[in-house]
Amino acid sequence: MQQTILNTLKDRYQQQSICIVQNDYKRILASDQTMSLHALYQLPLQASQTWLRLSPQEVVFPYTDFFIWMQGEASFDETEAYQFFQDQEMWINLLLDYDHKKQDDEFLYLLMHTAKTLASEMYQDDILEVVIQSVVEAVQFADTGFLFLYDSQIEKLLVQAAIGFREESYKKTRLKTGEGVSGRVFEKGEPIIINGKNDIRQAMNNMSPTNHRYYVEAIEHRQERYPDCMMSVPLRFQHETIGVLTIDSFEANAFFTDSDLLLLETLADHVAIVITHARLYKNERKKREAFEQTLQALRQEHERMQRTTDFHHRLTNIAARGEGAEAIVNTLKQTVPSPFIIYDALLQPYYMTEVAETKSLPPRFLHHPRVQDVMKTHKWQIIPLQEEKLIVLPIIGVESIWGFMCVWTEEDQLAKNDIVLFEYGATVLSLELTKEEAIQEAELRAKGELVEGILSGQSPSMLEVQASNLGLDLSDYYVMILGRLPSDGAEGMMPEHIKRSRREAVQFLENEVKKRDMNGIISMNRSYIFAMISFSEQAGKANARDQMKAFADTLNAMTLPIQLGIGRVYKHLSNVNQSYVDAEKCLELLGHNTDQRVISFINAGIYRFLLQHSNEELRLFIEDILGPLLQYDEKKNGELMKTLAAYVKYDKDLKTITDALNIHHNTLYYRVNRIQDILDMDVTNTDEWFNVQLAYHVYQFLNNHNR
Amino acid sequence: MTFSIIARCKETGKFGAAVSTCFPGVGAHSPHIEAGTGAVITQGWVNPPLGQEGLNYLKKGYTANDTLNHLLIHDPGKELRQVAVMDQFGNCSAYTGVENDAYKGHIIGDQWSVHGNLLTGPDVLEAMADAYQQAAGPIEVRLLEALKAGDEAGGEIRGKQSAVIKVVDIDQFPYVDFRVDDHEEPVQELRRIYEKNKSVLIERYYEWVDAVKQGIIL
Repeated sequence: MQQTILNTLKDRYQQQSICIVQNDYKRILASDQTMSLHALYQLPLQASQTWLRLSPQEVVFPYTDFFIWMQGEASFDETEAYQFFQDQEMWINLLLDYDHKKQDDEFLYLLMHTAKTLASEMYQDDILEVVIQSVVEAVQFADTGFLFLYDSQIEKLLVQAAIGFREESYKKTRLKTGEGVSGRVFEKGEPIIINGKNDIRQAMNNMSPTNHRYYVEAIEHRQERYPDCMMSVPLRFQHETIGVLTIDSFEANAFFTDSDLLLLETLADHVAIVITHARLYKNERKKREAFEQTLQALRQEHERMQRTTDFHHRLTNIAARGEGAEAIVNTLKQTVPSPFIIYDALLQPYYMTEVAETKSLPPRFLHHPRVQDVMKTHKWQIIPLQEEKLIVLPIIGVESIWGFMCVWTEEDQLAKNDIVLFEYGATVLSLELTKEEAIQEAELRAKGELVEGILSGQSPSMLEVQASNLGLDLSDYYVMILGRLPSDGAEGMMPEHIKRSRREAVQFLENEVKKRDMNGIISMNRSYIFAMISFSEQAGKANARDQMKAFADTLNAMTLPIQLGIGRVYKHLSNVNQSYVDAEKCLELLGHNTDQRVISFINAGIYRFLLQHSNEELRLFIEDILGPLLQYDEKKNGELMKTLAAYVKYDKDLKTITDALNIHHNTLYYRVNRIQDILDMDVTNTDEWFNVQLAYHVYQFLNNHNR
Repeated sequence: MTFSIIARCKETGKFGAAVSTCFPGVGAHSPHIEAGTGAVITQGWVNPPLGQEGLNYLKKGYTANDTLNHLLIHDPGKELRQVAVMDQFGNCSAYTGVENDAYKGHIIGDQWSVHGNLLTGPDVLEAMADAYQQAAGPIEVRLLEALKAGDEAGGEIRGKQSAVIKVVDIDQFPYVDFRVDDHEEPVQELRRIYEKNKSVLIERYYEWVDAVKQGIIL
């Protein structure tokens, strides 16, 4: 409709084009969009004039609220035209009003449309491109534009998105505050509208050569170096300018009006909100991701911490209730899935989980450099095995390492998670085992002290108290059994090994005594392991002897870890020291005899008598009977004593002796004859032969004894 | 044979570490530090690969505790070393092996930890911790203050020779990264180098990073 009216008006005067402009330039109605409208702003109008001819082709008619500008070749009556337009003034105002309304509608529509687009794409990664695209589309004549955002770290304006420019060039632009049109808008916080190339070029004068070059490169593909018109508005959010929106038009004769600027400013407010929101959203998303990662990490830590804390509580409770080492290792087994075995210092398993039964330590375990490290530092180490790893944790005793906790694991993760548990378990176990050891030591010491007390003739009243504390009756029958590690076994043993063997011996005697339901105290002192057994007075001495004999027979038939000497049965506790002396003599008899482990004083045969005599006396007896033979052997380096020993041991049995000595029977005859000659005796004479036999046994006894 | 500190700036999230020792070129071995990931310090009988392995592990999102456990489990010489780890969240975890020479130890604080061995005494670590917490300014200054405090409190028994400070911001773009490889007063020299060059390297850091990334010159 608007176009029809304008055409009718210009056709009435055969003009080419007509333009009705509101005096405040807010409304411009043009019949031809190609009219160089920005020239209107420079029209030298005066309200008193009726009409003004600008050129042969241009005439302007000013009125109260508007002026009319016509272009055309044809001449016409300007006065008539002025009058005609004046008559139509009311209608023309109506037309301008109508246009106003229409523009408002368009304005609203553009605003709503752009707002909707931006809102719907706010969370897209390319929201900034969407922004500039939507703005350029919304503003009439606009065909290009930049979206600048301020980077506070480098204190420059950076082009974040653009339309109609080459990206590789505009991306390099770094505007300082106040530089170029956009820099100035950012600095002042005020919008700028410039119509006309020259003005624009002038406004861009203060750009740095580099930035200017980037600008030129960015529009290389265009013929025009500068746009025809431009608008630049600050992007403000909460009193802070975050960037600048600059749009241009390279369209010939294009110009932006105040209405366009108003639209751009209104859009800019919305854009600022969208950008801020998008930034917040992006930050929020980043934070959320970071929080999720933190949460996950915390959860894992918590899980581990919970296990550790729970384990700690359980172990603390076990320790508080005194439930002992076994409860500790059971708890460890329930908490961790990995198989483990606890070994003592001599690698005897102390505890093993069911799943660990198939496991074994690598050869020369104690010599492994990692195990050496464990022993040196008292800290865990890992030994890589073929398909799994072996974690070795030390269990620390009072003076040295008590043993090792060995854990087999295939997964690193598992080891990493559980290492703290194992370390804590091993520490608590160390304390518990040390405690248990100390208690055992104390018990043994108490028993040992009692027996020592008896032996050293402690006052009877004190003994009575101590004995009754231990459930003993003073007037019962008593026997002392003394034990010691066999000398052949103890050589080269480590102190830990000896200690353990002695403990095992005590344990062994305790078990044997318990099995027979006998009453006794088993303990040890520096020299011996001892068992003091008592038998009831009512049952009588014969009963006590019988029981002890049966016990001695059983022990004799066993392969024992110790040598035992058994004293005789004596009545009353105060006499047990006599049984102690018996038992000690029995141990002496055992000497280096590695075949025999047990001697009872009552079964000691002739040795009992020998033990009654002094060594000097016995030596004189040997000298009397065997002296010449011993001297002969020594002088000649002979083997006659050895032959005599076999002759006595095998009771003159020819074959056994020649076999044992590995000699011909003639050699034996010869040697026996030599013995008879030297000793001046006859082996067939019973008395003489008995003397030689006895002297030989005494000789043997003394030799063992002295050794 | 070293005293050191690792920290995360609560305001900026930047990680930093500083070390001084009586051995040449400490910066070649420690610290290992990466923007957005965390930091690892190994000292004592230094095992350099632990640093990168620690960072690799931290990158998977593991915490400092996890990472330290992981490193210790794979290091047979763990008792010879001191290892400190800081994760992306600012949690610290540290281990001082029993075979380090006395005085040895570490203190863990809120997003920082200090560690040392062969020190003149516990004062060194306490002085470092106090100095870091009381100092104002950017993290690099607080780290340098901590190092200075450790040095002035006695530092290392054997003497001093080298020092290093590293603070990271944008990955792959060194931020504060200065070393003194051999000097009579390495900690003071490190401070001098920092003060002299910060206007060139630190104050225009972001501009430089931006310029490099965009292929433009400053």
